[in-house]
Amino acid sequence: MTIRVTLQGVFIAAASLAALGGVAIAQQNKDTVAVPGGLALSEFKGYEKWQVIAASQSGNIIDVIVGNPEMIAAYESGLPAEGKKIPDGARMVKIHWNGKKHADFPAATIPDTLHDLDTMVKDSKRFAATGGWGYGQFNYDAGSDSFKPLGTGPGCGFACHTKAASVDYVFTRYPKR
Amino acid sequence: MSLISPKSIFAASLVASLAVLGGVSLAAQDKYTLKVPDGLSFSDFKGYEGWQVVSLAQTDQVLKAIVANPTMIAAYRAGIPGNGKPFPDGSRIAKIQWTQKKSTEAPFVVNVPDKYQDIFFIEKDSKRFPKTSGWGYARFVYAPASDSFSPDGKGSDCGYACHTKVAAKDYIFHPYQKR
Repeated sequence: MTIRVTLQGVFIAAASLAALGGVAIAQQNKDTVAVPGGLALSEFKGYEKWQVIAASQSGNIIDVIVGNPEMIAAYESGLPAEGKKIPDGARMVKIHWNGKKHADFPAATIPDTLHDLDTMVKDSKRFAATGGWGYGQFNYDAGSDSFKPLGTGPGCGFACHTKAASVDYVFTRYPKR
Repeated sequence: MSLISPKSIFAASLVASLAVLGGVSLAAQDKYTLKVPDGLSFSDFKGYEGWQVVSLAQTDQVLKAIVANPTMIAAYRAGIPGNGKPFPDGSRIAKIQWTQKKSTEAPFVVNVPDKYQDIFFIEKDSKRFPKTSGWGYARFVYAPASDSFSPDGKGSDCGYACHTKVAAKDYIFHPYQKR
């Protein structure tokens, strides 16, 4: 038996390799992207598997807030609460998607493309200037399948979260499930 | 000097503590003993609180989080159901529904979970549920006043008619979105 290599076959193979290359380039970015002078997305490695804290919706954005085991343990111990601190090491990620109507169930709005990731990590020494929390925002670019950091430094969410200063700057509650 | 003796404060706080404990123990229903008559058991989904999120949804009434067990998440990540393959037996998915409210704390307009309303479970077992294309369905309704769940209806086919609309996606409405 002879193996015939056709031009078409070569073209398909080349296109497949290019597609694989594109995926590899995009996945690199997740491990290396960082806010200049601020948080690296790699500090939240594994967030895809973290437990759900809550969901929310604002305008055309629908989002889920997930936490690492330290943050979930804090919620389960009754935090956030007036005057109490969330322990160092607690991390949260808010995944924002653009919303769209479900094609098979139009009464529901569901996630469409990824919009951005908002991250928060508690380290009372490292982030003493911003209430013990470091903040980061990573905007997702669907065209290049990569993330871009927003701004500089770890203080991007501080002004907004100051409204919740009495409960250690955390807005989201852990609803019963 | 206080008119109330330390002893009476201790007694009062002990009574208060017992009342609180009593309230908790009365309210703490063991949800894992619940079962839909002739249908799914809540305990088939033990640990769903820690499962990974698949997707979200919002309607005029509710905000929902859809989570799945590791078997089902692995199937999603392998391209199911978009690749035309069915979810494997042992796949389990839960949909948690909350009523929603405007956050009173956030500095922008945002809807957040208010009261817990109900939970839907679906599990794949092609031998156990051959009449409903391999999936068994259940719904448990949450009552905030008694902090307890109760099964809705009976049997394991409560979601089948509705989910037939997405038969081409192995009866599952929600894709796994990039994150």
